[in-house]
Amino acid sequence: MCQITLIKPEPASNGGFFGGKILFMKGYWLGMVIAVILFAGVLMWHKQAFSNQKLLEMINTPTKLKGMTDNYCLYQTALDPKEPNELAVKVTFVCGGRQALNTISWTTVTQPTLAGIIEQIARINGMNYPKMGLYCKIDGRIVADDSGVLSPGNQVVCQVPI
Amino acid sequence: MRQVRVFIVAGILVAGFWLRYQHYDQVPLVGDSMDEYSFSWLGLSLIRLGVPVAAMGVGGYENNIYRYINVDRVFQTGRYASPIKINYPWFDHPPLLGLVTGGYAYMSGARVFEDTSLFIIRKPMVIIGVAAIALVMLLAYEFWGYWPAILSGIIYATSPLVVVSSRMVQAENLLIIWFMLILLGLKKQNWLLAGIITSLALWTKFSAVVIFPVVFWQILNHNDKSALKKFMWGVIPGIVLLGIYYGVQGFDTFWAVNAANAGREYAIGSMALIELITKQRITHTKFLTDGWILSSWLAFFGTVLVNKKINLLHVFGIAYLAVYILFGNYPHGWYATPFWPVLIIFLGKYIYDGIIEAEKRWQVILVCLIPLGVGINRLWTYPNFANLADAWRWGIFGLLMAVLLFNRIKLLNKVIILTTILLLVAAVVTNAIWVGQLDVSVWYKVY
Repeated sequence: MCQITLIKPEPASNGGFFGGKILFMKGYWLGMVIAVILFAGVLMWHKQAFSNQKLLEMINTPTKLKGMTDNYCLYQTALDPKEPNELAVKVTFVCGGRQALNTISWTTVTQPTLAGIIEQIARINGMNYPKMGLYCKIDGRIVADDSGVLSPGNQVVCQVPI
Repeated sequence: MRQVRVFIVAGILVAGFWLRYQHYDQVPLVGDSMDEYSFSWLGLSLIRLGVPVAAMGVGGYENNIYRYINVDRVFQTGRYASPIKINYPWFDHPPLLGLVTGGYAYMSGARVFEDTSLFIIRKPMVIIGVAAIALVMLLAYEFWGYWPAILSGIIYATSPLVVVSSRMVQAENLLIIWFMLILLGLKKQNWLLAGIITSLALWTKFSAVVIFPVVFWQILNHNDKSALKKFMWGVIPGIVLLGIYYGVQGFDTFWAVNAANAGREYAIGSMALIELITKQRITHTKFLTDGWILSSWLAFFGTVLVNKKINLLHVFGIAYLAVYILFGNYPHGWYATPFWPVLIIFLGKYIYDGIIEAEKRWQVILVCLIPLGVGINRLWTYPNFANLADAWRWGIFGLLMAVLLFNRIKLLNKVIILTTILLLVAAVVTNAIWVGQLDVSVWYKVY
């Protein structure tokens, strides 16, 4: 005759409601630690891509989508800087009967030469640079070449060949 | 019947998309808000350089570069004079929205800051705007069923202020998505989901803290002991990872920026509440009067005053109002946008009740007359309106008198219901036509 005995199984070490909950919590915090380490690692690794040169390239490079022009009087950046006493250089291009006034804040000037300023204006307005035949005066003085040094408050007038 | 219902929902989404996509890169104008570019530069620089670089930080930054970044020829619009101040690491706002628009710009080929034109960076916002319409309908459906959801969806899809504002790259437009998902999670008592989405909201903008009192209110209401724990399981990873982000990028700058932010002028002033309701802004200085928004405020206050109990949507509206008043510096239009989905859901319910219940018919007529008047005024400005004047004044007179005197007579009641629905349709159509036509030339005349 065979006898069947029902044996209550021993609870597993992590079984039961509380055991499952503890396991979940352990998994949760373990996952969190792994996520933190991975995330911090990726951020620090990716941050090494940063350099001032790359940053300036992102800031200074004009978009390729901007329609470039040879006409130096088509666009102007004319408004005076908003901050009181903010120093600026004013450059006026004269193309026959048309003029374009550009006011450039001194805080943005990296090359304080006539060539540097004109190049900067060309970059902002989307004008092809260099342009041959520019004939410029700084505060009424004729400038022999475009290496003339500028200082804040200068007024430049350039005749542009048409 | 089910197919018809799905078709109606799809139709609302398509119409909402079409309205948002019309002139999306022109209105609001280039330079109406430089934040749009700034957010996108943040994402683009994080992707390319590993460091958040963006513009016009509130203060506290050590690294400042001044440059004329002539994106969309903004310096030829005659609106910007001073060069743009670039700051890094930029901590005015968390990076999620920037990663969305900057990431999209990167995938579209943008590599330098001038590449992030409105034509590119507003496209994801149009999609987010359409998702918001879907979530408005879903949330209204969860609370009040199909037809209030449809009414809310129609109004949210066509309201001129919502349409135009939703195109802008502003954190609030993404926050709207997270807020509605959180409210859905809370309504369904899915605390973990609500927690995870709250993390995403905090990664979008810190004003997302508004959700915490809403969550606690809902938890207290349900007396669910595990709810807070489940919610926190969802939130904690997001907060920890955000902390890691700031830690790696520079905690000192983070504190300095937040200290500078805390010291900002409280410029919304004591008129904040009345201006919030009566002056619908797009930016700080540009207004776009929208009858739907004014009506939805009336519906919101109406339900708060009439109902003895408030629900989860009321709590959100009140909590966001508290945060708006607390944080307010300048009354930029986008600070108010998170109100609108919830307000418009109330309006949808309010109008629905007015259509089906004779005693409440007044409310639907009154809240529809406001947007209808605005819509007609925009389409037929004086003196063109002179041709419509008689129809306008006699029509309204006749409708109000009919409701006043004959609302309980069955035969006339059906005519009144039909007329009321026509009034609603006319309000929707006039506003939708106007915003569909809204291009730069019309935009200059809006004030």
